[in-house]
Amino acid sequence: MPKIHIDEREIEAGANENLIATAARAGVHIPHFCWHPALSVAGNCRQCLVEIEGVPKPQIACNTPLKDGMVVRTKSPAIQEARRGVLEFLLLNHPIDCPICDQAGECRLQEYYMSHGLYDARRNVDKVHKPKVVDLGPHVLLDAERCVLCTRCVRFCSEVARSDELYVAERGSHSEIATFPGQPLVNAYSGNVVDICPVGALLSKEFRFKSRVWWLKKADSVCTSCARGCNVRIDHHWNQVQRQVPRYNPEVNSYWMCDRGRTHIDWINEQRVTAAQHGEQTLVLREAFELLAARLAAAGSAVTVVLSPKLANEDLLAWRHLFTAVLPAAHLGAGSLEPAQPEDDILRRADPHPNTWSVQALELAADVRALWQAPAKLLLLVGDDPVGWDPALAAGLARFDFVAAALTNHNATATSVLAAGGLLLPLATHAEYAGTFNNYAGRVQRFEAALAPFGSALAAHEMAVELALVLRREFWPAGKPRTSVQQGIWQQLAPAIPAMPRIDWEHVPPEGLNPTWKPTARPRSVLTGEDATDAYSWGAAPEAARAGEHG
Amino acid sequence: MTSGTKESPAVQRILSLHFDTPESERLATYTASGGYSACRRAFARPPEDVTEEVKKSGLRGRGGAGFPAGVKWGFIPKNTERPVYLCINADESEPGTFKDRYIMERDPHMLLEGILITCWAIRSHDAYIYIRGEFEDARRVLQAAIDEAYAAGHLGANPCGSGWRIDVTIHRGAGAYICGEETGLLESLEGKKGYPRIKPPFPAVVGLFQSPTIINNVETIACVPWILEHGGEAYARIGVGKSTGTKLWCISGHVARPGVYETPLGVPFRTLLEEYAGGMRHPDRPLKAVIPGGSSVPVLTASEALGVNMDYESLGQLGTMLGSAGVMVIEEGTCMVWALAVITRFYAEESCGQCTPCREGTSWVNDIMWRLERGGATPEDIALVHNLCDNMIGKTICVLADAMVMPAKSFMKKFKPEFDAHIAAGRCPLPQPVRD
Repeated sequence: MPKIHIDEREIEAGANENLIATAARAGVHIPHFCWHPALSVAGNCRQCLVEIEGVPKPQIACNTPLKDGMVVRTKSPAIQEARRGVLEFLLLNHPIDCPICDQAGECRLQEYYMSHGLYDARRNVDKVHKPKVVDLGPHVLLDAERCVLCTRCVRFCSEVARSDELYVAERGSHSEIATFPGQPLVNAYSGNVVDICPVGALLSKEFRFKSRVWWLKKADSVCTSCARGCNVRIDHHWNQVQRQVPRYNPEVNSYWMCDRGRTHIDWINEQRVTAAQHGEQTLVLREAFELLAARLAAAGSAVTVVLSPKLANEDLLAWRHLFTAVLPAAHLGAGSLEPAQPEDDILRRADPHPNTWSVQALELAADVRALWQAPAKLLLLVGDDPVGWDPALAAGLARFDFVAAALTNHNATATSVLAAGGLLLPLATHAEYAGTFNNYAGRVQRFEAALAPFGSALAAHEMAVELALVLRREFWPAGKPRTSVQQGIWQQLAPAIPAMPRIDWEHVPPEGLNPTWKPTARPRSVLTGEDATDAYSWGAAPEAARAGEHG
Repeated sequence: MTSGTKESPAVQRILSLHFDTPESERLATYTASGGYSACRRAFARPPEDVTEEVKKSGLRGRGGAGFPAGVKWGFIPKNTERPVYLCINADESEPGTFKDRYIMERDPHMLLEGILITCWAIRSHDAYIYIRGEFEDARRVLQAAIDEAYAAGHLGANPCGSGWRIDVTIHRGAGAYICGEETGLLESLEGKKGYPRIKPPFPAVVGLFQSPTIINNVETIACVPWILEHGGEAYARIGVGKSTGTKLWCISGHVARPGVYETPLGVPFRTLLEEYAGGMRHPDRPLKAVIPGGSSVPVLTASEALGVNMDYESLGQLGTMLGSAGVMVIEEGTCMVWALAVITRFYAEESCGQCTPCREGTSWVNDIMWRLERGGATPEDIALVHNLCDNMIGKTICVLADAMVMPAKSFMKKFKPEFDAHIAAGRCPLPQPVRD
């Protein structure tokens, strides 16, 4: 590997690494718009110009071959001026409408103006006007005046989504991103162009005008819309999910996620079950658990428990333990009637559930309709919406002496359960607690709590522990865990199941653990400096640049 | 406009020798004067020998950059498994340049024979002629010549009995200057938008259809048959120093007889003007300035031009370039601000818009230039344009930005009083400026 000198620092270049990525590892941020580590090199923004000893003209860092002993300067006066010059050109026809721009706060034009520009405007000619609020497709709007024509979006559509919807129309200063007539931006990954747009040109229809980005609090999470388990970041404010964006993970989803996963967030914010309800009556949680405990005691083992593959590992382990070891139920299974989704060879999986792998590993897989018909006095549903997927199931509820359901949303199942005189318990979504899912390949991926639980909602595993308490049964085989409930579940319940991976719950790395991981080897993070320069949350990079600039 | 060869003094001519022969575009005419014999000589020699011969000739690319053609051919990787392509750049869109059109219209078989020899030298089976869309006449003549050559067996499966298949295809451009830039040309030829490519990789390694490709100008390739016929050393004896051979000059502007003239390189500009172009068109209006190599090169003042010899080195010493040999002669009374504004408008129109400095810079400079010409400019505008030019030149993928910066900076430097006068007057101060 060639060793190069960047601003007096020596560093060895990585395999297939360009100067921008190598410099980032040396702590030198080279400003850039068009280069993205997962896309081909376009070399058109010209912001990453650097000086290379022995080469007369400034060179673009994104496409300059690295040679051993190369001496690179990124802060010489000539380069400072070149960067300032390019920024001035980029901003020449820009509307400078930051106060109404969604990108403000995470915009490279803003960042670089502060770190490399700081010039007084010299524009003395009229601006070129271009189309605004252009409807490109179901999820994306274009403001062509804010566009820096880096073509990241064009390259994304041709190289990643492989759908070629976008192109650059016109030429010269009239160039603009466009779709072809009658062919809107409809690929299943279109939202990613908003993420990779370094400026406010491509806007998410779902997030537009929802929140200023600096109000957003961020939590690492995992997308629950299919079995891929794309790593995501939940950006939230006012205890509402404002947007969900992909989080870089080279093993799972690279920098991307599909539109379905991205936009499937309203169910977390809206129509939530926030309190226990029995028929018409609202109960405090303790009363609800006591009611359920009494009914469970009366039913004996004639109980059917239907879990969901949307539940986390901790939830499945806890309920499985509760109804096999603590209070054995006649019928226990997990399944869903949700139909399969379109699958492709990019990210999307047909299985619409985040945790089917674990349902199978825990030997819980079952047919929901069969469970519905199994002879029992009490039916307990945890998660999902079976009646919503098959309205015919509603009629079957009358067969039971008592029906209880822990649900996140006021869905068709909730309505039917209440109509049948049953008990509704408020269930927390994965956005409200920390846990793990195992994706289709068995990769253990941890999600963090983003929101405070809605109303008195509880995570499913907390409910299981609570229920045992109300039943006056000992839930924990080895005593109450001293750290967290989740840790206790992994330490005390998981080892009994050979198919489940052995993990240290407190130390699941942000990129997850593959199923062959052994606890003896602490995994090394796969996230490197290169990614830090372009992962969606790249906020730290310009700080480094500024520090270098003035330091 | 005439080819100008009739009245020009008798000097060695290579390219324009048959321009005025009746039916010069026909195969019979070409073979009658010994055509398609050079390629037979070439096919009888190993390809490396042919390249070596062209290297010996010192033939430099006639498209504008002046890179030695034989050296360029040598960049094709040895033993490549991919096909090798030859692309002929016939996009000739540099303002003031009209020599390739003459070759294609008046001696197309000379170009085709050059293509045969070059294909053999670089081991290519397929040549594409990327012709400027507006050149409909040239395309028709060239296509007829190709059809004749196929019928006579000079092209196709077994050209001149060599057993080396060579097919030639014409591809028409659609009116973009940038498609004359060699990698923009490749993109356009591949059916994409004419955006120049970032280098490396260079076209000789990764060119057309991801394969090794040589791109040469029409005039360059048209020289090749003569070189093979008479030897590279004979060619190198013509001209001066490293500027070997003859050159077609496209003389336009305020001269008595604009046209295409051929002389050995190194001819004094004064000779070109007075003996070939018939001097200035108006006896009362002496020479004011000369753009010696197409609109993208720095301008020369009258005194500079009248003392310079027309070859790569001499022009280089004056800080300008031979470029495409589009010699534009400007007479006294011409508004230089207006002339520059016309040039900047061209580059602002033709910038492909890929690189930031060119996309935004060319149009910004153009806007300022027209304000200078029409009134309303401030003294700061001159310094601003100089600074914008500095921020554009050498900072883009291709040299289109440089091509605007070079005339802009040289005009503003060499004719500064005119620019200042425009600012002071708030309009063009010339009473009756020449505007044609």
